[in-house]
Amino acid sequence: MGPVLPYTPISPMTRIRIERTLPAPGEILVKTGERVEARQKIARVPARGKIQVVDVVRMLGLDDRDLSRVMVKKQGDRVQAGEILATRQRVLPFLHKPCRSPNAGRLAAIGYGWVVIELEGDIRGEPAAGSESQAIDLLALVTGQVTAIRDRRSVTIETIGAYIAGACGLGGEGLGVLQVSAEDRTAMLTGDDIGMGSNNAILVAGAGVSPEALDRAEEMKVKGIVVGGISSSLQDRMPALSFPIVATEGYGKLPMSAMMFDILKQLEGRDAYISGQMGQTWDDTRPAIIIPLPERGGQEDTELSSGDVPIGPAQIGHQVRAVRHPHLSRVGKIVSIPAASQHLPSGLFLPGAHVAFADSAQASFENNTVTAEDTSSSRPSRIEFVPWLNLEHIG
Amino acid sequence: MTDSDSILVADCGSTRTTATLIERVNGHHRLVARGEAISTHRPPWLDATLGVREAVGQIEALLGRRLLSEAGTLLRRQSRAGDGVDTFVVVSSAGAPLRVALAGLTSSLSLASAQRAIAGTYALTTGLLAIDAGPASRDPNAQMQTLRQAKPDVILITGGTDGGAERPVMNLAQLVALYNQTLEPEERPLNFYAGNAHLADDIAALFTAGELQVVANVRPGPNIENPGPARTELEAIYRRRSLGRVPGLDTLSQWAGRPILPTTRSFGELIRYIADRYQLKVVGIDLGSASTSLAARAEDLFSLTTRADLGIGLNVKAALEQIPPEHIIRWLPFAVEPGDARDALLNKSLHPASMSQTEEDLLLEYALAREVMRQTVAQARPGWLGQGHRLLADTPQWDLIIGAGRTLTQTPHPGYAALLLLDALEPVGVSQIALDAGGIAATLGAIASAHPLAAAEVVEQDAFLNLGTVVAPLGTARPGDVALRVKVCYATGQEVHQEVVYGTVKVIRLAAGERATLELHPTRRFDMGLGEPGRGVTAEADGGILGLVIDARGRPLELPADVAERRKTVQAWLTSLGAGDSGKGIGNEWARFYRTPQSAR
Repeated sequence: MGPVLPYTPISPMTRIRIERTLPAPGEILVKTGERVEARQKIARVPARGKIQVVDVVRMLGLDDRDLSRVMVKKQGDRVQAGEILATRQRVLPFLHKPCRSPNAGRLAAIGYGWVVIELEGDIRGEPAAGSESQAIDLLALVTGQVTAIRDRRSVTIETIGAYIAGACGLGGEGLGVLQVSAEDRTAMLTGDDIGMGSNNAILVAGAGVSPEALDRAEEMKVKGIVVGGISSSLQDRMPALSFPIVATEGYGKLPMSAMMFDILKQLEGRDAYISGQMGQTWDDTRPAIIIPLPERGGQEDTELSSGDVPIGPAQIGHQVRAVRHPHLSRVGKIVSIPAASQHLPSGLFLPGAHVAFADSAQASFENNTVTAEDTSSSRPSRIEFVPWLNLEHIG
Repeated sequence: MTDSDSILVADCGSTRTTATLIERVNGHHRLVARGEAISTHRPPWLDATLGVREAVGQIEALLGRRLLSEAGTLLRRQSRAGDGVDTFVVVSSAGAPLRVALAGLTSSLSLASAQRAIAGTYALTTGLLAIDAGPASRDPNAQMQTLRQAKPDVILITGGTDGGAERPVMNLAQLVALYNQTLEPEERPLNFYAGNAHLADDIAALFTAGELQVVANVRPGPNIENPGPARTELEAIYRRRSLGRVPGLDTLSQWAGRPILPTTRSFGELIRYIADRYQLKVVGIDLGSASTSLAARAEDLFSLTTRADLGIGLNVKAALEQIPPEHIIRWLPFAVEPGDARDALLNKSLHPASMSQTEEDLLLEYALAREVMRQTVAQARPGWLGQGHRLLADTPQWDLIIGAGRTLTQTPHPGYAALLLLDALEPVGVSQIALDAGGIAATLGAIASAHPLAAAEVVEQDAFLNLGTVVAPLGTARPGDVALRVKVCYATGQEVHQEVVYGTVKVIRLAAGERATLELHPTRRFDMGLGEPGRGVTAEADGGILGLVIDARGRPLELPADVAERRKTVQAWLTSLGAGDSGKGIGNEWARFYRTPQSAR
């Protein structure tokens, strides 16, 4: 028996819970138990706009920073551009210019000689991104049932379908029809692979995406791309791209795992949701692909994969994926667990397992490599020694 | 039997969890066994105790003794021969770092001191209001935007020596108070005031009750720095807000019967403890997956620099945002495209516990490790200067250098670890280098406070692997010039004479347990740290598994500008230290630490 390994969940059919969260407390538009459609609005929050600090003391030429005697408006009030915020209470007020609001917005705070306005339009008078007039509407993005609502922040939706956890991603979220555009899981997606039929689709690529393919995808209003590996240099292009990208294996040119490619291929034509969002270092947000599937009355439980998290120690027969070069992204099964640590070509001396990789996409011919038949399939497989630290459970 | 006969220590890291058992054996505390597992505080487990249980389970299997109950809780020892332990200690770095916004008057004074206060724990400076940074920095609009973008957990207001500046400090505090008003009460940060003490009451009055805490001024005088109280408060917040949110750590804290200590603090305390106990100038660097800590102690100087944004695993992405790929690949003896190197390193961030399987991958990871450590050193050095140790900041001379963290301690060959430390720290003079081979340095500080004898005995017996002594003169010269003439006088009476050429590293035999007298004669452009180029010194040197390392590459360390020449040079340095031999012919001590189960020691 080996140690507990990290885990990447992948299933063609499982029960999925997705928590949809607002960036700030807002209004929840659905109720627990309600059935929601993917494109349905489920929550709303007036996005926090830009702010502007008005120095009332300076504008009115006051001697101290106490505004209690000059304010016309109070905290929370809405004001229009040019509206009076504060004025000197004098016998001859026309001798003193009042302090007017430079922009439309809400008075978020008043004090110490300043007024803070949360703007509804930016300083040039245009609607500010994420301002009140452009409140954030949170969509369900998956068809399913609301199972929980947390405070004014999040809605949990439960659905049945295929779930693939991504390794890394770029961009936000996308909803579209799944379309397999690559010839196979090792192919690069090029501009030529994307045609008129790709409009509003989520494209499944193979090992990578060319820059031309990204331009073409933008042109065709593609809703997202799922690929084996992405170059980190794509990050520079993301502000210009309107769709998310999810990489199932990692960074670089990496063939998509056969099991993932097969699931996506089988579900071509169905509505899919993808998220390319990656949390910061300490955030557990992970890119994902969800393809809701119709429930089959009465059979649902038997159709479902267990969905159990294999938190127990690794054992012979467990399905694992290698997470480090030179076997990065290869999937196989543990066939034996040597008692002693072994030398790696790097010189490190580590405990691990012999893994029979069913694919030969990245065949390696290191010293401790032998050829064998995979007992679980008729495909020839290679058995490699891989340190435990470079393996994860998958499936 | 005392209450410290059997101490179990758990280190819950961001990526890996270790458990170490220290017990009294033949009257002395020894590191008896160690287990290691994946950290399980993140999905899908969401319970840090699972990783601890697995690591402890490995110890149980090795010893054939139970430390945990059937229910998986800690067993207290009832008798010397019985199951269980007497004491349980936990340290952790698994919590997200605090997001801190700093507001102050002068970048080089109060704000610099405040930066050093927050560097004592896991915290990120996400916003900086320094009103001496030009007219724009005094614009309240810009200041408010800075705070909003910073999304701070904590705002630390500083500025003014005690009895010094008042008006600008009040203005800053008023702006911070106003920023708080723009937020919903549950979204508001914790506010601290650590500036001019004379203003404390006035500033406290600006905030709603309970929203501001006053601590001692971090810069009470122009030449007086006092970051300690602010550091202590920030550490307490980290424990409460960050570690308190890590699933399972509350259970471990209950088992321990005491709060969990942040790992960086424990590591810092160990360096302080060793330096004070043995009257040495000590620097230690703990290179972690998500953070890097550098602790230094020399006479009255104590400095702890924690970079919660620089790591060699989980935080590779953040590190790459600060370090250009060209700086990383300059340490490689082979060609690689910067984009490919970046992709390869980012894959490590997705699987932070993974280890290099190929030599190229290993060298790339070590290249990043060098830069991560160099960045940490660059932040620490001004702090040494700030505490009045100009000489140390300019020409760091250490009696003892300690390397910790798996990247440094689990190298295929000790030469890699030595070279990484030398490239990062660039020490001057004569220093001993040791590695935290037992993987326990980050926890020994926590033990030392409650059980100093146990800590001392483990430090002396088990914790460190002595690599040897390094001699490094300061200076530069033309390639091929002799930098240093060395005479090694062994205890056997044998003498070895060597001339070491500038730009090279040389290893001279000096086995572990051996001691020799060194006569060091730098040439006229080189200084042994005395401030007098060409002046010779005599020093005693202890051997180690590497031996005596003469680092004549000069200080500051410079890599050749020509790419081909640079790769050749980097390879030559690796070869000189024996790195690349994959551990062949290193002697039994290295094997004892790395090739045998821990319990067999």
